[in-house]
Formats: sequence, structure tokens, C-alpha cells
Amino acid sequence: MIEFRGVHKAFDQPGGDRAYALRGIDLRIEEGEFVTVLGSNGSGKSTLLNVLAGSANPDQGHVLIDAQDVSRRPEHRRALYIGRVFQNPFQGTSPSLSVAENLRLASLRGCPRGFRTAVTQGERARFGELLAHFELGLENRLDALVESLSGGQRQALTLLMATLRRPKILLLDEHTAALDPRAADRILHLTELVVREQSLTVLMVTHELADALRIGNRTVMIHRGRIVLDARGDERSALSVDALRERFERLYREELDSRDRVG
Amino acid sequence: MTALMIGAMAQGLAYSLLAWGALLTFRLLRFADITVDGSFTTGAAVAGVWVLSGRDPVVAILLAMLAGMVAGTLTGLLHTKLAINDLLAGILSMTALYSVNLHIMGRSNLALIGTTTVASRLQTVLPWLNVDLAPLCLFAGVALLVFVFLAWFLRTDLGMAIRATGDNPRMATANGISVDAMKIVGLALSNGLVGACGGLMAQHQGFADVTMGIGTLVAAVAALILGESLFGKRSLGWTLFGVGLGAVVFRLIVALALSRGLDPIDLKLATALFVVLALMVPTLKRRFARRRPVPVGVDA
Repeated sequence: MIEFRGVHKAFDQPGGDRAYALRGIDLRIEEGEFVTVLGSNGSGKSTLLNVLAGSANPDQGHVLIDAQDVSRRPEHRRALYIGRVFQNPFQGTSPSLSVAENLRLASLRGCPRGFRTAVTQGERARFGELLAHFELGLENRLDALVESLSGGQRQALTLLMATLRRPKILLLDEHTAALDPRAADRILHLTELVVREQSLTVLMVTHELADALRIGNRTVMIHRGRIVLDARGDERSALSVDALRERFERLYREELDSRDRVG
Repeated sequence: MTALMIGAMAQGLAYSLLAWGALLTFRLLRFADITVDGSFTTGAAVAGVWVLSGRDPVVAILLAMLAGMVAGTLTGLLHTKLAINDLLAGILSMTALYSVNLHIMGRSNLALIGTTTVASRLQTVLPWLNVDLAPLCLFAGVALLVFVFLAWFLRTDLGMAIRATGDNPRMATANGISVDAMKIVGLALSNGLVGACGGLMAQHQGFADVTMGIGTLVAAVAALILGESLFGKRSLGWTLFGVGLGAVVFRLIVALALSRGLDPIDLKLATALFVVLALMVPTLKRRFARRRPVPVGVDA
């Protein structure tokens, strides 16, 4: 179970201003929930993931993983619990290591690393089967350097790596946004497959309203650092893409109005 | 001429330790570590003082390596714990080491002529080796040992974590690797090799001098680039092998240039120019690639 308790986070901006990315986030994600997160640019949705993963520390509030407060734990010491796929397909893998070496590296996520030979024959066989299962066409390219793979292949590999050791939560940060439509579809399909097979808990940020409603079982909308919609069950089934879009536009208009009043 | 070439080859084999040190930091960790200009001398100083007191020359080299590792660790701590940028952290260590090296030696240079060296020890074991061949065999043996160690180490989980750290720190962190710890381990290992090389060279040349480390990083990078471009980077083992040979080729070129009348005063200038030229190649390639006209009617 994942919990955000009153999380605030602000960043210093070049002009000396403070940009408030998160303004009091309270969110409880139960085991097995697949939460899709919507929000416009700068709404704080990526910061939400960063605060959970440890790439950013909250200014106020707490982040809990299985009732343990991890708010002050450095990112590499939270890795045991967290699988992560970034938006940029180049960020999730090590380009000058081979496919097998990347997989081995991920299979030890959060574990101490010693002087054992990294990629053994047994490991190679296991990785080959895994890759074949995902139908990536990579099972015979275990020794290929990742820098020779396409963006879609890298993202699929990252997804596989993030779930090689079952994470307590899988963080997906617009992980299909940088791909062409066909590759994006494949990655989404793979995502659903892995999540179902391992019954994972997921937090997925997306720009696609349709995806946000179709995939997963809970949808959260963030606007200016606050949760403005949290729908599941029947409430969520009743939502349509049009209704979501309208909601976005209304929030946007309200923001303009409030600025006018202040100005 | 042959004696000259054998000497150059022996030196080149010893220098392969420097080239591998540069491979670890400059290439794998993407960390330009100027500490080596100090830790090379530290290794020489420690080994020199040790053999001058009549103690074991092999232990002297191990101590030289240990001293280098301490220096590398310090640079790593400055960089990771105090967030000092890589170049400045190295410069600070290098500068501080200058004083440390003078303290170790007690003066600015040590004459080691007549002391027992690892090579002379080897000669007593294998009496058929002459004065020229003993260092050659010794350095070849050391280079082989280090090559086998690195080829093994870089394929272990820890070695791979170091490679991933330089390659993609964000991914390394997300997989639970402490980027800071890996940088410190890499720098310690690299400077350990450099310190050992300093110790071997002091014994080989028969002296240690407080200025002998100047230009170590540039020479090491020159050997690294030479090895990579001559032998390519087909695999990790091949790259290691090529970089080691690169150091030998580098010393052979230097010996040849000196014998053909290159003033020793200009040696560092020539080495620096070589590195500048080598670093220019990718930039030039890109510039020329951009200027090339786009073919008409051909699908990209």
C-alpha cells in the first residue's frame, strides 16, 4: 500500500520565485490498484512520481510504502520497492551495456552487488525466455548493445526490467508519449499484460484522456498541485472522454478568471 | 635501437596500467580525473621510501597501489559528499598531494640506484634474464595480471554497476545503485593502478621525483584514445586489450620521436597536441557530415 500524507513540494525558479508543484496531496493507493493520473503541463503529476521514487524530497508531509515512512530515504534505497519507466526511452536503460547485462542489472534492483559474474548461462536462458514471452524479437539479441535498439524496443526492455523483480509499485511517467503510435500501442498492451500477470500496483501518468479511462481501475486528476478528481468504480465507468475534457477546460477557465481578479 | 625499443615496450606495458586507469574514470565513469598527476608520484614516493629502507620491493608496489587508492577515494569523497565538480575535486587532490609527496620523500627527489627492485628480484629467480629483458617480462606479467583482473571485475555485478553509473546514472539509481559509492570505488581502483604504475616506474628508472606525475592524465588519455582507435571496441575484453596495447604503441611512438630528434622538452606539448587532435575528430566529422549535400530524390 502506498500513501501520500499532506505532501507539499515547491521548486525555486530562475527568477527567484517559488513554483508550487504539489500543494497538499493526500492519496492512498491500495494493493492491486492501477491508478491513471491526468493533468496539464506543470500540474505536478511528474513531481508526484518523483516524490514517491525519491528523485525529489517533499518539503512537507510524508510518503509511505507499506506503512513505512520513506520520505527521507535516498532514491537508490527505495529502488527495492519501485519499478520505474520514464517518458524518455533513453533514460531507462544503460546504452553501452548489452540487453542481457541490463536485465541482470535490473534483476538485482535494490539488492547488494558483489563479485559474482553478472551474466551466467542460467541467467541468459531465463532472460531469453522472458524476452520471447514478450515477443520483442530480442531473445536472440541478448548480447546486442542497447544503444543499437529502437526507442520502442528500449521502452519495452525498460518495462521488462522494471518488473523483473516484482515492485510494490510500478511508476509509469507518460511512458508511451515519446513513441510512434504503433510502438505506443504495443507498449500499452505489454504494460497491461505484465500488470495483469503479476497483479501489480500501478501509478501511470498519461496525457491521453481515452487511455486514462480505458486502462486501470482508478483515475486521478491533478491541477495546480492539488487532486481535483479521484474516480473509481461506477463513478469512473460513468466518466467519458468528453466529460473529462470539459472538466479540464473549466479548470483552465477558472484559473484565468482568478488571475484576472488578482491582476 | 633494439635496446631502445625493448625499453620503450617495457615502459609501455607499465603504462598500460595508466591507460586502464583512464578507461575506468575518463571512459566508463565519464570523470576527468586529474588526481592521477599526483597519485602517480605518490606511488613512486611510497615505493621509493620503502625500498630505500631496505624492505621488500614487491610490498613497495602494493603499498604504492594502496596509497593511490586512498588518493582516489579522497577525490571521490570531495566530488560526491561535497558536490565539488569532477575537475575541481581532482585538482584539489592533486595540489594537496604535492605537499604530501614531499613529506613522504622528505625532499624533492629520491635516488634509488642500487636498491633491490622487483625486476632485480626477478633476475635472481630467473638468472638467464638480462637487465633489459627483466623489466620487460616483469611489466608484461603485471599488465597481464591487471588485464585478467579487469576483464573479470568489469563483468561482475559490482563492475557492471560502475559501468552503468557512468553510462546512465538515472537508470543506475532507479535500480538501486548508489551512484556516489560506484564513483568512489571506480576512482579508488583507477588511482590504485596509477599508484602501482608510479611505484614500478620509480624502481625501473631508479629515481622518484616530485614532478614526475605531471602530464600523467594527458599521457593516459592519449594511450587510451590511441588504443581505442587502433583496435576498436568490439567487446569489453577486446577494448581492454586494445587500450593496454595502445599504451605500448604510445611509448613506442614517443621513443621513436625522441630518437629522431624530438626535443624531450617538447614531449608534453606533442602529447597534448595529439589528444587535442584526437578529441577534434568527432567534432570535425559532425561538421563535415552536416555540410554534405542532401541527395535529391533518394529516400532517407
